[in-house]
Amino acid sequence: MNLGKKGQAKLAWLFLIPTLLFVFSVMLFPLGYNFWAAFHKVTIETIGENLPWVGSQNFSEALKGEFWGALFVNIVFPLGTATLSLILGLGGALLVNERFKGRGSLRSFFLFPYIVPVVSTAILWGILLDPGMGLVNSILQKTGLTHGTTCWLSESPVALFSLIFFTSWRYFPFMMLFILAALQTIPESLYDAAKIDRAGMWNRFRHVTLPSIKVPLAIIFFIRFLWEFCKYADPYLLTGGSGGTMNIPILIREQAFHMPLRFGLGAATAVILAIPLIFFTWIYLKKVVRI
Amino acid sequence: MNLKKRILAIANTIFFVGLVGLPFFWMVATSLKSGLESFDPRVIIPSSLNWKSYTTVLFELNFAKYFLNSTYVIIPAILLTIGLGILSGYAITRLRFRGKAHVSTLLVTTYAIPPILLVIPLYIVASWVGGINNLNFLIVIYVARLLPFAIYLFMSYFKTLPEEVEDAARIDGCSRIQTIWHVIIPLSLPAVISITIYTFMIGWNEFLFASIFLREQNFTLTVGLHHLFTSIHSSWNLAMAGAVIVMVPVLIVFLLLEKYLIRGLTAGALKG
Repeated sequence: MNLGKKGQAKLAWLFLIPTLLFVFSVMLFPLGYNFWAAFHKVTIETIGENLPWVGSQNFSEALKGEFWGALFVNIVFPLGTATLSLILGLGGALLVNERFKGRGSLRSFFLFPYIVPVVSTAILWGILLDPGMGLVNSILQKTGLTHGTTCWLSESPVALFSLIFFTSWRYFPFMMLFILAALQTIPESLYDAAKIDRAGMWNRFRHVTLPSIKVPLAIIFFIRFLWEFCKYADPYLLTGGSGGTMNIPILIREQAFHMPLRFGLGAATAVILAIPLIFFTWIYLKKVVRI
Repeated sequence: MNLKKRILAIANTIFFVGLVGLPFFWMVATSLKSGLESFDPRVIIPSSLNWKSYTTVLFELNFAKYFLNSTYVIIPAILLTIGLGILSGYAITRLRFRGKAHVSTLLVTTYAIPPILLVIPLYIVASWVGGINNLNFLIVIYVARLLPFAIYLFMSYFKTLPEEVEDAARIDGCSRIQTIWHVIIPLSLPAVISITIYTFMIGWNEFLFASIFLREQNFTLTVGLHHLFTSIHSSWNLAMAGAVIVMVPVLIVFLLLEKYLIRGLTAGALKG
C-alpha cells in the first residue's frame, strides 16, 4: 500500500511527535525558562511563587569577581586540552597506522581512557596525583627530580596544567581515531614519490602527511575546543574547581546549587556562557556538519 | 625499516602503552590492596589479593543498590531512544512532509545544547512535577539528551539503504510499520547495535544531572562513586574497587562489540 502525500505527512508527524515532545519539554522549554529566570529573583524560597522581575541585577552580579577568573579558565582549559590531546592523538595515530602484529588490539587498548566512565578515571588520577601519598609525587621524589611535595590538584597554576593533562589523556583516543581515519585516506603513491626524492622521515611527515590531514586536524581541534568549553564533569570530578581551575560551568553549579541556591544568578551566568557558545556552534554547524 | 625509525617506533609504543596502561594497572592493583597498603605508593603489587574491598563496596557501601539504580535508568532510556530514534530517523529520511528540513535542523542543533545550560531550569521543572530524587525523571532527561544524536546516526544509516527493498515489501502488502519492523530494522541491525552501545556508554557515564537530582538512596553508580571517594572514611582500595565496578560493564560491552562501536565513534563527531 502506497501512501498519498497527505498520508505520508500524517504518518511522519505521528512518528515525530513523541521525539518532539521530549525535545521540547527537556531542551527547548527549559532553555527558554533559563533565559526568563535570568531576569527574575529565583531562589529556593521564591520557587513556585510569582517571581519578582529584577531586570539586569543578576547579570551585573554575575559579571563580578569570580566570573573573570572562570572565563580565563574557560579559554585556557579548552585550548590547552584541544592542543595537547591533538598532539597525543597524532602520536598514537602514527603509531597504530603502521602495520605490525597486534596493532588492532593496541588500538582498542588505547581507547580505554575515552571509553571508561570519567568518574572512575578522575578519582584514579586523584589518587595518583595526591600530594602526600600519590604515586606521581613518590616517583618524582625517589628519582630526585623534586624535593618538596607538589599539590597537583589544588595549587595554582599547577592544577590547571594537571586538569589539561587529565582531559588530554582522556580524549586523545578520540583524536587518534579521527586522525587515523584521515591518515588512511592518504594515497600510498605520495609516500612513494617522497621516497624517490629521498625525503627523510621527518620531511615525509612534514611535507606529505601533515598537509594531507590539515583539514581534519583543524576540525577535530575545533570540536574538542567546543566540547571542552562547556565541560562540567571532568574538571569538577578531578579538582572540584580548586587551585584556579573553576570554569564557568562549575561556577554556575556553585551559584545555583550551593547555599543560598541562587538560581536566578546561575541562570544569568548560563546566558552569558551561551553567547560565545551560540557563535561557536553556529560555525560548527555551518562549516563542519553543513546543515 | 631503518634503525632510526625502529627506535622511534619502539619509544613511541612504550610511551603510549605506559601512558594508558600504568594508570589502569594502578587502579586494579590498588583495589586489591589492604586499606593500609592502599595509601602507600611504595607498594606496587599488593602483598595478598584482598578481594574483600569489592564485597565491602558492593554490599556495605550500597554499590549493589547503585548498580540496580543505574540499570533501572539505562534500560528504558536505551529502549525509548532506539525506538523513537528509528521512527524519527525513518520519517525524516523516507517520508515526504512539509517542514522536514526545519525538523532535522532543529534536532541536530538541540544536540549541541550543553547540559550545563539545562540543569537549573530542569531542576525547577523537577521541583514542580516531583522529579527531584526521582529516577523516572532522570530517564526522561536521558532520552531527550540521547535522542537527537541517535536520530542523526539513524538518518545517516537509513540514507545508505536502497529504497527498492522497501518498495518490494510494500508491493507485497506490508504497511509502513510492518516494513519498518520486517525490512528496515533487520537491515539496520549494525546501526541499532552501535547506537545501543553508544547510548549505553553515554548514559552510564552521566554525572551532572544524576549528581544534582538524586539523593543518597537513589544514587546511580557515577554519583555513588564520587560520594564514596569524597567521604572521609573511605580508603583508596575501596575507592578503586568502586572505580573498577563502574568501569567493568562498559569495558565488557566495548570489548565484545567493538567492531560496531568504532563506526559509531567516528560517525559521531558530535559526542563530547
